[in-house]
Amino acid sequence: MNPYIPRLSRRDMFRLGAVTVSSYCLAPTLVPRQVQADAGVQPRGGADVCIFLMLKGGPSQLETFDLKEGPWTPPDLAPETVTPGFRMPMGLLPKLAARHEQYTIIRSMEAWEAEHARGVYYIQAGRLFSPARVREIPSVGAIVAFETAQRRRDNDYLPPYLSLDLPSADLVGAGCLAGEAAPMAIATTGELPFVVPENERDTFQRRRNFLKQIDGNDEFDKRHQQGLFAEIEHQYRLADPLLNNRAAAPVFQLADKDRTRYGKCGVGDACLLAKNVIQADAGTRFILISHDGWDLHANAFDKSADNNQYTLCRDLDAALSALLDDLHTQQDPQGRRLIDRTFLACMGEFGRTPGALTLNKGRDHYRFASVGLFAGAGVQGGRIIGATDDTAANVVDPGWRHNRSIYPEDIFATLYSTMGIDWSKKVTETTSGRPFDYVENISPNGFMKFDEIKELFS
Amino acid sequence: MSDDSARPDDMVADKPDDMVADNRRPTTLPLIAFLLAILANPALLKSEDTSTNPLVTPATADTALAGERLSQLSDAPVRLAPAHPSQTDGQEAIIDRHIFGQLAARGIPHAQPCTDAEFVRRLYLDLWGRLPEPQQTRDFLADPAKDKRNRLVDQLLGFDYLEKPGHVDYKGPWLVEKPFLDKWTYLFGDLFRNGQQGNSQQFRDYIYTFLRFNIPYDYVVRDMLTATALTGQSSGVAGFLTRHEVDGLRCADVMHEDMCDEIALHTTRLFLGVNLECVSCHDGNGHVDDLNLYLSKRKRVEFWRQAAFFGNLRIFRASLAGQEFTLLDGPPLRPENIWRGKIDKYDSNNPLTRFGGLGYRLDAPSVLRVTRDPKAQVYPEFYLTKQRPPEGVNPRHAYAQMILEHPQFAKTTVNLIWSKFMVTGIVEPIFDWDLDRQDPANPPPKPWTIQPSHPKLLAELAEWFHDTRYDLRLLMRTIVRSRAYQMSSRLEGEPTPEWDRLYARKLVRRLTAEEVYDALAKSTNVFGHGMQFALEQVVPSSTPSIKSFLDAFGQSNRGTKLADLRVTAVQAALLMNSQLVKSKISASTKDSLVHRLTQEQPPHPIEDTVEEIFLATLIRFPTDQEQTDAVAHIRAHGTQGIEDLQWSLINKAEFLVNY
Repeated sequence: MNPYIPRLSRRDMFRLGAVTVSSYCLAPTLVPRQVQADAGVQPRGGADVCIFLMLKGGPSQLETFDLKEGPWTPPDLAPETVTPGFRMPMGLLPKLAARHEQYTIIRSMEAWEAEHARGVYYIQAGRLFSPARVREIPSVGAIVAFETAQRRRDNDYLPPYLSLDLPSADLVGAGCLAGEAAPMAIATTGELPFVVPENERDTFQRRRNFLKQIDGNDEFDKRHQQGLFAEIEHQYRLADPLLNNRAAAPVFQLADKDRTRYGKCGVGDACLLAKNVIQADAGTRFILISHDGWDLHANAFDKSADNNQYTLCRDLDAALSALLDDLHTQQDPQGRRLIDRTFLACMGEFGRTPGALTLNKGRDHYRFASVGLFAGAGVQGGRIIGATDDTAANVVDPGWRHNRSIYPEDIFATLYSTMGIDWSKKVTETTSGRPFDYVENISPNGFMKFDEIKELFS
Repeated sequence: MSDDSARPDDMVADKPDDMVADNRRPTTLPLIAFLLAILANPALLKSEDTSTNPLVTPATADTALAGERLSQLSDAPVRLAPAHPSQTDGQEAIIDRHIFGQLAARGIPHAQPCTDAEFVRRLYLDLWGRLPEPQQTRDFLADPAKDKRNRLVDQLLGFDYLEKPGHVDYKGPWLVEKPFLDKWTYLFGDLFRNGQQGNSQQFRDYIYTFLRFNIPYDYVVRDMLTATALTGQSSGVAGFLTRHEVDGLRCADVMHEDMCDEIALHTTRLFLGVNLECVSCHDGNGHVDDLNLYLSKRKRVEFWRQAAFFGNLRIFRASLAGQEFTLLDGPPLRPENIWRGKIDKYDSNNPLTRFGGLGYRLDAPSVLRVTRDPKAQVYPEFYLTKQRPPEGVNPRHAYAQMILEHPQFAKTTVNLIWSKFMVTGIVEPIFDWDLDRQDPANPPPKPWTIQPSHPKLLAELAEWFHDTRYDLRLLMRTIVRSRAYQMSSRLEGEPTPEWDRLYARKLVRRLTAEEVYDALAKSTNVFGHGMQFALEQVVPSSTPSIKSFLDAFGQSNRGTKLADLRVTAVQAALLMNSQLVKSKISASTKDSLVHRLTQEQPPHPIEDTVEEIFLATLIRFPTDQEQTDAVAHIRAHGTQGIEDLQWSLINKAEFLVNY
């Protein structure tokens, strides 16, 4: 029996309204700041690739990385002090707890949105959804792909922006940036079509050659509409290097023993594929992984439900731990540890209601406190930034240089910075003529100066 | 294998002299008076005196069918059958006159008629969403009859019922074959957003039924807008409105005004072509000035007034744990008043809960839009005409009436159906009309241009559609019989955007996700994964492997995402290398075409095999060069060569395109 998940009206991505000011929201606790003149930023660099592991649905901060114990805590969460100031639910995330030296947790995060479609948009585009601009605004991944296009080498054969397991309905594309910045969306639950098994290679080549022969003779020639047929031809040519490249096969082939290590689950397969892609070092710069199911409005701790807090944490625990392990132990063809050149961010679109569970024994959306996990590319491990009160309702300690909570814009500024991208840039050549900044200094609250989170690194 | 035809056993007439297609022709009575007349006096239906019965007009000498008798509708339910389609023969000349007239006037060349092979594939895809079988293609191509194209049209639309052997008593368009119904049910399922909800099966059945019996479209729209149901589980038609409910941030919250907004948006868009999304949050002025002349003058308050028609609609989620809905007219439930402590029970004296007057409250919260202005004046007022519902009439009944009376309804629907066959609408985008740019006699100020490519054609077709009682199938018939539709997509020369806008050649489009999936199954005869055709499904499949395949081809999720017809490298990889395709073309897959061709005794000559595979996959014969190459390849590689052939044809661009 599936837990009840009430639907907020799933808005057509082309049809949402502009600013939402829900009267359910409490007054913001922040004072809007004046826009500072931009002196330009010095990106810190260090990362060649980033992973954005999206905990889709919004994870409960209380039962993941900001453990709060109270009458609502099921005993089998087994909280333990991993290190002074850091308690973890060992009944949910034991492996990650053991690896706490490898990552930093931020507990003083807030979100701007409390609805899924808009929230998921926000943590991909880094800004408020605007129906007027949705077609031209690129996602963070597309901006990364665009900015790193100059670094692309001749023998790179993997797409710069890879999206795993996020349905195309929710995936934000390249907007007004060039087509090559567009994400390649792969579902690990389906088959991975880029693997030509070794024993089929000859067959595949023979067929491909025969197709070329048959196509060449075609009476169905260019006098038909060029646009669509040229596009089809172009996409086939894009797919060919992946299919023909023998080096691509091991990337997309997920060995059973590896899959088991990663928890033999959807997010495990995606993390394993991400690891392979990074190890191959073949041109991918941004990997978006979607781990869906965190939207537990009801029966969050009901073990008989297919999807509950236990299963979600079990899968995340296995997948992320294995990923961190492999990134730490494995090296790329140049002999560098993968973790040193990979920036990993793991977060959801918002948090969940604090304190006691709701009447439906779950938690609803909550944007005033959420958590994130960050690792790699110089992130200091074993650290916690920020703190919330006893029920995880409000941020009481921002934990960084600025006297406010941390927002998705700050996280993206950090991500751009580690990738060596000057995040104060703006793009002026858009279809509408309106420029967009990589990191908008206009939040739903008015002007706000966002910043990279330097405290992650020192 | 043949497709099942509908056998309307439940509609067997008891009287032998019943079911004759009536010659209903346009009446001079306004539609509403006509309906009211019937409702007020059912005896009208029994009349055999055709001079007084507005439902039928006397048979004329033009009737194609001799000896036709008028319907005796005595005890039979009201039959909303269309006029016999043959009476609309020649109507397609309207289309051709305008299309070719415009092209000639501008000195633009046009394409030649398409070949028969192109026609049969195009027609099957457009009407059925499915490829024909090799023998059907052969028969059609070999048929010497001059009117074979028109006969095929009637066959696919189910208008050939009089010719069906042994079915003299069944004279109705419900004998149309199932693929037609599946495809259009699916399409309307997309438009009406029949996604995952408790009564998606019932709603699907409702759509299937109205298509099967060719119920006039205006009747359907009215039906859906005025539906009530104690439980959505027993009411398919309630599915349309119940899908607009909006949850608040807590499970139990029903955002009543947000729901009204959604209904206003969706119905204005779908039935009137006007997209109010932008002006649902702010005035048009200062926002859409460069986009839409009509909307740039609109105020946000007009939108609330449109939404207010549904102010007294109550969509109640009966059970917190399910998708069970009640759809009634009644006081809106405002649970937030209960848990805010304002009231603790429903009280007819309490203005917060009392029925009566306005059910659309400007001070209500919203999870979707900017706060509303509590000082505005809001009452139900129709956006396009500023009409208000008469006293004592249920506002949403009035709303339905206002929509149906407005010329935009016919025009929007005609444009929608037109775009499904001609690829682009006369007005594009099809749900973004600019009402101040429609009339060439009243053109907008420069630099604005008239929005429709053929305004007079649109007006004439819309009027004809209205006159034929919004018969969707007749409209389709007329479009596909036209020379404009039957042009080739090949045209020599350097095409300009103007050529395409004026339909100088047949426009092409990629097959939809469902069409691709179904074409793979049909051309290889391998079905599987527990699903025959994607277009038969009630809602988009949730089986992971099928879902990811369809998602890769841009399937609409009937909620947040429209169908996406772009081509991607992942699609190319799937067609070249997915298990789905490889197993279908494999000789060792038991049901596959390749298997049959290689296993049947006596063995097929290679030339026949090649021909069969071309016909099955590309719906045409191979050219001489293709034949030579294919035969040589098969001689060299045997069975594998045959697999290679079908694989290659699936991966040719023309497989993926409706040209």
